Amino acid sequence: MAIDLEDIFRAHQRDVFAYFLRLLGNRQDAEELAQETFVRACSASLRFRGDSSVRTWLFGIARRVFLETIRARGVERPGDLEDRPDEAEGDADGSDERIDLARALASLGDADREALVMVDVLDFEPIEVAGMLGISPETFRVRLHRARTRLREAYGR
Amino acid sequence: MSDDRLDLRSLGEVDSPEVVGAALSQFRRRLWTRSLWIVAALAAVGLVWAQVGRPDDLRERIERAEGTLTLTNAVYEAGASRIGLDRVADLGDTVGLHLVALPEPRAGYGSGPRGPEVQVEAVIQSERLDAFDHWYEIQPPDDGIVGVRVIGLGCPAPKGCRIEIDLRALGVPATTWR
Repeated sequence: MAIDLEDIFRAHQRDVFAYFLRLLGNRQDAEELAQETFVRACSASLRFRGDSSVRTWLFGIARRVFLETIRARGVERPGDLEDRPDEAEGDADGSDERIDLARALASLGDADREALVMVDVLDFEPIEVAGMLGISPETFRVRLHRARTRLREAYGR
Repeated sequence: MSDDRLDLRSLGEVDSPEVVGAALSQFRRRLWTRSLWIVAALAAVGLVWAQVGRPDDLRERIERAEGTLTLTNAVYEAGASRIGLDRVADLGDTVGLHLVALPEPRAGYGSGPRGPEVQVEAVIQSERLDAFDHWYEIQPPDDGIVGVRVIGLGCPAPKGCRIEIDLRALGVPATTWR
């Protein structure tokens, strides 16, 4: 049981870490919150009934961890990535284009960034994300569309 | 809605640190800590129960005292009352007594709820279950004699009637009453 759980978690480790890294722009915070997500998932695993996929369930937990952390200590938003050596390290093998994309993403508001990270970075279906956010799929599609538009504008600058 | 989107998938290809192993360890530590807290809380509840819930009323102490002696023939007449010594208990440094005070049936007082007032000498504390059952904690009598004053039911106040209960004569071991 413990080994299975560990294997399942490991399969999602990178995505969960990427989720926090792209929302926070800081590797240390991302690592801390990813770890907290899996700690809570251990506790919650007994209550997991399989109503959704493990991935959706895990990201539901991750999102709560993210929101609680922001409320509790006001984690800073990602700012100018040039001032973030941690980020540069994380993208050590990345191209200039990738760094520009990360910078453009980081310049967006929280809601836009989250929509883009969930759908365009982590490849969730919009309807799944709408469910996690507790909004209608239509509302989320509009939000996603606007976020993509803003990202293009930010990237083009 | 046109959806000329930028390809962001490369941003998900990050070099993730090992967090699952650390999370599992942290979960086990939390579980362990929580278990310790639960055990500590249960122990605290047990301690409180032992302190607060333990039988500290006199009646319980006398009934539960080791070597409590039950007597059947220690009945004394005082006015229109009959005073029976039911139990003698060694309470450590003190002695516990259970007295039953009943109106003498032939005296016309019936068996109503009214019993006499019973005062025991050298008393430390006393407890009455009802009009008839009296529990006393007394200083150990040097000579084994316990003085009892009965007031009411034929023993007019303030003097009342005095009886002496000779524990030695009743066969109560000295280890119980000394």
